[in-house]
Amino acid sequence: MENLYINPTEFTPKVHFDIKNKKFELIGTSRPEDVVAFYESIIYKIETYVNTMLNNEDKTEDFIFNLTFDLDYMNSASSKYILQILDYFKKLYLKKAKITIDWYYEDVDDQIFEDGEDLSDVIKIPFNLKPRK
Amino acid sequence: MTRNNQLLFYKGFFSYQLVNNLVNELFLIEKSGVLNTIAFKKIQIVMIEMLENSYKYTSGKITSFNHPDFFPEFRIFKENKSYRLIASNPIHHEDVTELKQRLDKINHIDLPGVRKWYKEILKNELYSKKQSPGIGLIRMAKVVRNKFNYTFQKIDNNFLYYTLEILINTK
Repeated sequence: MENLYINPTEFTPKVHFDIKNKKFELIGTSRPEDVVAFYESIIYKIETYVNTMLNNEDKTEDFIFNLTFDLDYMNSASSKYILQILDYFKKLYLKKAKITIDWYYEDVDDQIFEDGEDLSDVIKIPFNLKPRK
Repeated sequence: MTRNNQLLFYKGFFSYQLVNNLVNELFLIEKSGVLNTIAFKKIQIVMIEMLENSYKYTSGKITSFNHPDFFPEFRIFKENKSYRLIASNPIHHEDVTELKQRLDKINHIDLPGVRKWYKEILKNELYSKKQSPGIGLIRMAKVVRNKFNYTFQKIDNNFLYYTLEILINTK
């Protein structure tokens, strides 16, 4: 499976799904005009990847993967698709894989912080809430 | 109420690019020193959700509309340490009941209740076929922590003119 890289635009975040280094990054602004079209291919890739990993079930306990969300703005429509991404990784998390989620916020931006808390609570996986430097 | 301190005004049907242009105008207002960063962040979230809602209720749904007095409008006023955001747009009669129920619920529950409701909808809508989970209004309520004022004024047998007014307090 190949990596996925999507350049950021004024409305959409940078996406980097780095399979070799087991990292997923979503960085910037998430307010796509067509939110389904933007997230569809990303979610399909993640679904395929997670299912492949789950097929090696005896190895999931050794599996380590990091997700980084560093968003300066996300609209409410995007939250549904970010949650879907997290929900796929949750399947590995429930098989004892070490899934870490770094959620960045600006120290003045209590809403992105709160969004992180709320998404973590919905998906039932702890986030590392990190102030952006 | 005096509303002479208007920071931003737009009248006309919104496009996606136009929402972005208005956000860029808000950036310029912040850079001029009228807004601090905390106020800017809150206004940005509420403004985008209001404009995207207005876009949702009009784009593709209202193809011919001959009432210039009832075109969509968006305004921001500064009032001491608060900011008042007012968005108006025509809306089909059929869209009103669900919207009004949601607005009334927001106005009748406290902040922890709003947050709990927000999370319930996110969970329930995770794999629904709807493009958006429909939580824009609830997200605004989480941010502003004030009740919403709203009105629906009859335009004709097809449309009402929906106005939503939100006060954002800053420290």
